[in-house]
Amino acid sequence: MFSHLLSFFCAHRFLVWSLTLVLLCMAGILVLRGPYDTRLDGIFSKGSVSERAMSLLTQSGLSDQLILDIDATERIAGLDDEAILWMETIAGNLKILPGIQEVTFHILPDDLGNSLPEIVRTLPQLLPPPEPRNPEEICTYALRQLMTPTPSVTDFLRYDPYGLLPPILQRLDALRNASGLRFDVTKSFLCSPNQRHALIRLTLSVPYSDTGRTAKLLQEIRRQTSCAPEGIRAHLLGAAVHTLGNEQVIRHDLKFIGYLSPLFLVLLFLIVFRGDWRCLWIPLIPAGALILATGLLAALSSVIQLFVLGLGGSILGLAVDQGIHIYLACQTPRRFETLSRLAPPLALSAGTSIAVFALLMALHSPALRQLGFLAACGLLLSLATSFFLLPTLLTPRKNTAPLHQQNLLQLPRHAAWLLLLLGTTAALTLIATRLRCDFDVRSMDGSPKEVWADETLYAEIWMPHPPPMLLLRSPESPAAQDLLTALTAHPLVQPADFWPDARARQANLASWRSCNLTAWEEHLRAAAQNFHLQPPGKADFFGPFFENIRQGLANPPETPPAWLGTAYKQLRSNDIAILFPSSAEGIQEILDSTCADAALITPDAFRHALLQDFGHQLTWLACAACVVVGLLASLILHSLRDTILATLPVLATLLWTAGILSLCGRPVTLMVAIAGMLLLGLAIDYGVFLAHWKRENFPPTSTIPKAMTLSASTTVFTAFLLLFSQHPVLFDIGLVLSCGIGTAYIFARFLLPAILQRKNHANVLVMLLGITVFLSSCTTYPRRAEISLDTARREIAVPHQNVTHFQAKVTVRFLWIDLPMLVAGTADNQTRLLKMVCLSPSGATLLQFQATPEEIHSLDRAPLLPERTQWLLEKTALGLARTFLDNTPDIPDSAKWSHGGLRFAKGERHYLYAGNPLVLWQKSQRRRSHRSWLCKRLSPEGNAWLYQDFFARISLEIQAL
Amino acid sequence: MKRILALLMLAFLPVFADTSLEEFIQTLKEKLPAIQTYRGDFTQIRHLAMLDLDLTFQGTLLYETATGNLLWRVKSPLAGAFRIYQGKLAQWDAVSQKSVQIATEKLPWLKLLQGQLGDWLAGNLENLQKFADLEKIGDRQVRLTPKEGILPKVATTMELHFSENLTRVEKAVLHEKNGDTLTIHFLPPALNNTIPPGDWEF
Repeated sequence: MFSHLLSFFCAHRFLVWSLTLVLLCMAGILVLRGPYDTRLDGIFSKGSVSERAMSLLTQSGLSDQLILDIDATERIAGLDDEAILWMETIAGNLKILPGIQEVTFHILPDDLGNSLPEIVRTLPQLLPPPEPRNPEEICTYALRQLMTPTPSVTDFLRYDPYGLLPPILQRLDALRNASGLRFDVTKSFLCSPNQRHALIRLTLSVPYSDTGRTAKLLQEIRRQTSCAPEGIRAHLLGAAVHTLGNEQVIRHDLKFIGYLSPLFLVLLFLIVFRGDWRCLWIPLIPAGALILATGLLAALSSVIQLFVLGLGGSILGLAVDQGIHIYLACQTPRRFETLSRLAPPLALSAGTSIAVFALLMALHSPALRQLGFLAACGLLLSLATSFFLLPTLLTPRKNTAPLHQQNLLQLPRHAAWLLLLLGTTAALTLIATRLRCDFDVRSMDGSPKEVWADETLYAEIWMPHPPPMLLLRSPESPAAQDLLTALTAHPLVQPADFWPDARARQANLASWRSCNLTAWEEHLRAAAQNFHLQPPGKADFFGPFFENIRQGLANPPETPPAWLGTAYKQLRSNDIAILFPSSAEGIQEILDSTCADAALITPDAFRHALLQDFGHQLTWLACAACVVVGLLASLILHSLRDTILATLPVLATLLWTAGILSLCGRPVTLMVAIAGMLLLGLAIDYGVFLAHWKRENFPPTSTIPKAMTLSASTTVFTAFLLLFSQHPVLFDIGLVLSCGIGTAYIFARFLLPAILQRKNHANVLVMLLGITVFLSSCTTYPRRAEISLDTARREIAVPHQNVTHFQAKVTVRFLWIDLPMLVAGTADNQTRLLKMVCLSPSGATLLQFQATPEEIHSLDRAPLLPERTQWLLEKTALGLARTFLDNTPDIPDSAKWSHGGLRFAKGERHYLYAGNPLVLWQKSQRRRSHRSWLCKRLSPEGNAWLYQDFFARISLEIQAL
Repeated sequence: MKRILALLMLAFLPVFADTSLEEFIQTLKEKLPAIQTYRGDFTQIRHLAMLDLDLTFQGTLLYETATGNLLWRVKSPLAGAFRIYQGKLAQWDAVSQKSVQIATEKLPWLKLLQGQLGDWLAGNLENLQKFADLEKIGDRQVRLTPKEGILPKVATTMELHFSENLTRVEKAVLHEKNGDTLTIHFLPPALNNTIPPGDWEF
């Protein structure tokens, strides 16, 4: 059937190509039309916690703010009058720049005394009226204040006899403490405590994502601040700086990759295909497929995420593999027959990749769905166009030796190479067990190091401990009010502290209007006369208070007073309120239980949100991808053995990539996880072609080895170039793809064929699997020459205290969840009881328990932890009890010295003691033939342990303090 | 001729005035004793300009230069005190017999007072010159115009009046920005005697 189709296409090539060009033009128009979105918001799933947080953050106006950190560290006079004058001038100049909406330098009016009338006029809206007080007490208090040698105290007493102002002014203090910003309270502008730094806040009217206009604005700001007095430097910080920094880095990287990659591809093809210019159709066809797929995406989507295009484009660059196979097949004498035989493996390799990418469309993230569509559609189109169009352009060349007969690389047969590769696999498997997960969004930020250096300095000077922040949309709405009610037990600073909502203000006004101010005034006047504060015929001592209160009641001001206005404006932007809770503990659970549109912003909260949003989706996706790939492979290969063979390179790819990531200290970030999914779909291609090659009994004339080599070369080289990029996203993708594809190639091209061509290949494969499993559970321990049991008993009989007190850092790992804790407790070895308190890193108690290694006597879980964590906490408690108790059992006479250590069993418990002097290195509990749990020492110093519960799949990393 | 001489004298007066301040500072340096501890009575008069009202308070001042410990005890018209002792600020009310601790950061003026009172009581114009511009306004009076810190925010000028024999500060006057005046008359103090710890109690 394929032969007939190919013949048809070759016979009607003009018609086919005309149609293709028309479609390309149409797609091209759609692609140029766009529109495109450059923000990273689209990567978050709709309605997810992280998407909500990002949306609120963007709309709160925080991302439209820039901070100008004026650094006078090198100025001898510091922030003297000349420096302050310059800052005031700069603030004035910047205010008139197009693109800047507001500039804040002075945060408080210079003199609170002058602001007192304005503040008192707003008091009836800010607060309910005070409780009636004894006028004599008020006068006594006034005299007491006047007797201290304190200037400017008279005005405060006259304008505030009832002491209403200090609680309001204390709210400014509370805001300062809650915001984490350290500054000198005696200055009217934001001045650091060391008097060497000042801040100017700029609110932009240009969105930070509009990089063109933002770049010009930042350039102008830098130009204006460059003429600072001697010793003063200005640092710019903000989301716009990060966006521009990322763009600069990506542009630089893509320039480097964009030039080298096509050059290499062209050279490679021309060299390998011996100057046949028609080989340049190989990369051109996927490029055309990309345009068609993008046009289709543009027709179906309202907006396209730009970074999806970049990622999708690089995936389609990998589709040159199909073209390479087809080109080589076209060089054979019976090309259509060869192509027809190649059709099933081509279809399978493309089909598995398409299936994996199509699964991305099941995610809730709009950007990833677009990526899935673009990659799947593009691969399908690339396969179709490569298979049916490429042969129309290629006819076998005359007078040349068939290319497929040239083997680029010989199969290494020497056993040493095989053992080396097997050993490396086992070692990397062992290392891969230490791989950690970190979905920190900063791992996707590729800002230049100067930007990070400025931010580090800012944090050091101004905000060493960034506080948690709660963003709340429409704080007057019923849902928001419910949330605020639920948060009553959590102290927090909110905009309503500085300017209550309209309803609260009206209620306060009504309360004040119901008071008998005249009576209050008369009583106070009489008391003041008695205390000689009221000279006859002169103005009332407390008159200014009543005068301004009456004005405030008659004409209530519509805006907060200047002293509170700046704080209010910082906390309330558009329709979003910014609240500062004193602690983040328990807030997320309250948020989850209400339907308010709110988000908790802390570095940890965002990381956990991303993990929560993507963790189970990606896990589900990985499982589904494995199932789909397996099913497709078995459907086409019709053989379980060949299906397993096809998946072996994928398994090796995942192990090697995980091991290399762990070796390089790189965690699994969001981009690594996504690249890993892509790797799954790409690595299977090599397994599929290996299975096909095996079916042909590895003939030397097969085109498959050369095609594998070429396709791996193109992919690995392109991915290798990404390792030189400065952007962490590109670097992570490059690392994953270069390691993964390289591994898949090595296994599919060399190792597995070498093993399969041995007579005992099945045994070798089983041995490989066995070695890997065995080594993954191995631990080394210090060897020692054999000693007698009595000596051993003396060495391990440490001063045996009934109670041992300790502290430790513990990380509980369960699936993708990492729960760090600080634990403190006592271990009573006589009663075999462990009493422990587990605290979160911020000091909140998570759990208290009493347990033996077999059972839990009591366990109190913190209310903030949901009930579904009970099981995990119980397993944690048992794990800690098993780790800290029963560490010095009596050594039975049946104990054996083995491989430099003392091994014995007591019941189901197995122990290994090693080192000099003997210490416990490992203990485990075995039931029948398997281990139910294992506890092993990780460090010779003896203060790090790893506990694993194999049934529950929980592990604890314990670092004693 | 006399007119010419008078004009010449007037022309040179600024030179003499400048020299006079320097000489005055030098003279004070020689005559004023260094103060390690200060115990003396005072009369504080607050003039409230808006009400044209004078409020008079009498009391005792204890001060220790090295530690900055300060006790301001008022006896009339009502009893009370505030104290800065070992870095902590407390205010005491004789009626309720209760004292309240206050963070010094909330009252930066008192922190300034603690730091500079020694210089004011000792008439150390050399040190005070760092924070204020000096001007001699009489035989024994000096005007200080604060130029940095929080003092310019609360006061326009300050005056120090010295005793006839220039051996102590007998009056300090603070002109506040709102027009009020704070005048403190210092009676002859006991200087540099050890202050027992019990004397710092309220």
